[in-house]
This record gives sequence, C-alpha cells and structure tokens, in this order.
Amino acid sequence: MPNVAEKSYAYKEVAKHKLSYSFIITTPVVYTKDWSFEALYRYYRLRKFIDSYYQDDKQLFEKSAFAALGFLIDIGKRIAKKSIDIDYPEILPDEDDAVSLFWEKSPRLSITFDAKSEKFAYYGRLDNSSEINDEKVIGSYDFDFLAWMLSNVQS
Amino acid sequence: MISTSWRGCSPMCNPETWFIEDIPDDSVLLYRVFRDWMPELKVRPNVFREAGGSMSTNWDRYSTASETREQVRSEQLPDVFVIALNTEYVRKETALSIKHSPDHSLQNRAHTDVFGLGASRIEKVRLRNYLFDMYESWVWAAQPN
Repeated sequence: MPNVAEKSYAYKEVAKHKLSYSFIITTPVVYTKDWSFEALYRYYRLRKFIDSYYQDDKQLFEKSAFAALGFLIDIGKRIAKKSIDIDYPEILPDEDDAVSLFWEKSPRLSITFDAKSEKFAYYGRLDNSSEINDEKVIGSYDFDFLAWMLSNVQS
Repeated sequence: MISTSWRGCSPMCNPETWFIEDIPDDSVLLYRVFRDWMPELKVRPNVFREAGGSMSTNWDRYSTASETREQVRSEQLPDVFVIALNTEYVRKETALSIKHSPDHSLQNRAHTDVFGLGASRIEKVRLRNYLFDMYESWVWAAQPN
C-alpha cells in the first residue's frame, strides 16, 4: 500500500494541475479505497491513448481530464469514508475535448466534463422510473448527493 | 459514367433519380465509430456523436456494413468500426429524428441523418445512454481485419 506521504503527494499534484508523468509512470499501481492512485493510473492510460490518436485541442482536453480526475479523487475520498464499495468508472475521451466518466453497471451513471463551457452534465438512472439529469458548473459539486447517487446506482 | 460499388446503385443507375424515402422501422442504420473514441475498443455512450448537425449513418437498404466502413479516407480504414442501430428503437426510445438524405456528391444513396442528439449537453448525456442501452452487448457490424 502507498504510504501517507505518497498519497498526499499524488493528491497535491493533481490539485495543482501539475501532474508529473514520471511520477505516474514510476509509481506502482495500487488499488486504494479513495481511488487516488487508480485515478492517476487511469489518467496516465488515457493520456497515452490521446497522444496516440487524438488530434484536436490537447490543452482543452487536458483541462477536462483534470476536472474529471479532481472530481474522482474528491468523491473517492468521501466514498472511502462511507465504506461504500463502488466500482471505479471508465474514463472516456469525448467530443469537444470533453472527458466522460462512465459507470456501466445497471442502473447507469454518466458524467461529462467540458472544459470549454466549464460545465459538467450528468445522467443517472436509479431504477426503471427514476432518472437524474442535470448540468452544473465544474467544481460546484454536491458531493453528498453524488456519493449517495453513486451508492444507489451501484446497488 | 458514374462508377460506384454501393449497393442499390449499379454503374447504370442515375443518382439524379434518387429521392428521399421514408425509412421503415424494420431498417438498420449503420454508424461508423472511430478507434480514437474508444480507449478499450468498446461501444460506450461517448461514441454517439454529431458531425455537422447530425449523426451520419447509412440505411441498410442501400449499403452494407463493409461498404459503410470503407467510406472513409484510406488512411483512416484501420481505425474505423461500424455498429448497427435499430431504427424502431431509435425512434421509440430516444425520439431522435431519422431522415434519409442521399448524398449525391459522394454518390451515397444510403446516407441518412439522425437529428436531435446535440440539442444540449444535458439532453445529449441522457440520449446517448438511451442509445447505448439498445443492445445488451454490442457487436461490430464491420471492423478492420
């Protein structure tokens, strides 16, 4: 398991939007309850993928990816505190240099972070008749609501 | 003389006679997806995208999945996949609008627009999930060798 210093360093780097690729590459991938390392590893994979194929505005894409990553780390910490067992989402490149988080399991949750509009939009299905669908400014997260939603969509 | 291999348009056919037809519910729409949309090479909601105001598809009456895949620049071919959309599902579950729109300049009689996905980000995230739910698991209608 990573020690506290490592975890704190990872979080600090992400929060400052100054991820060091060498740090990501050399740090062993370890599953942690709060997703910090998982988030970094997924970001690294996505970054490699984007470098291979993506041809649009990489700077804008990177801002969207950091927004998604920061969200994941923040909500991961809250979920860890609640001891809820939730799968880590897929991180997907999206149109307009946005980045989407996708939990496939039914019911479903999708969140798209768009650095261009500085907004995130989400869609979740809690059961056959109940849906949540809204758009908000990036950073204005109601984490309690989102943690509740995540625990429900995975139930 | 117009030379094309598209189904429904032999070298003798005349694109000037192509007209816009009603697409019945039992039709299939063939939709191209690109490798750089899919880190794990899986169909996900993010693959449903508009280009120029609509999702561009081909009606299976006039095109096959392989032909649809090949309607890109040759250097793109290794990165192009095709999935099949059920017309009835698209209409009933998403209320997206399907319009046959033959492309005379590209000699593509099968071309069909799907409108309505890009209304707003909120709508888009919802509609894409509806489209993703079309099949329990997605298979490629055509893919690179």
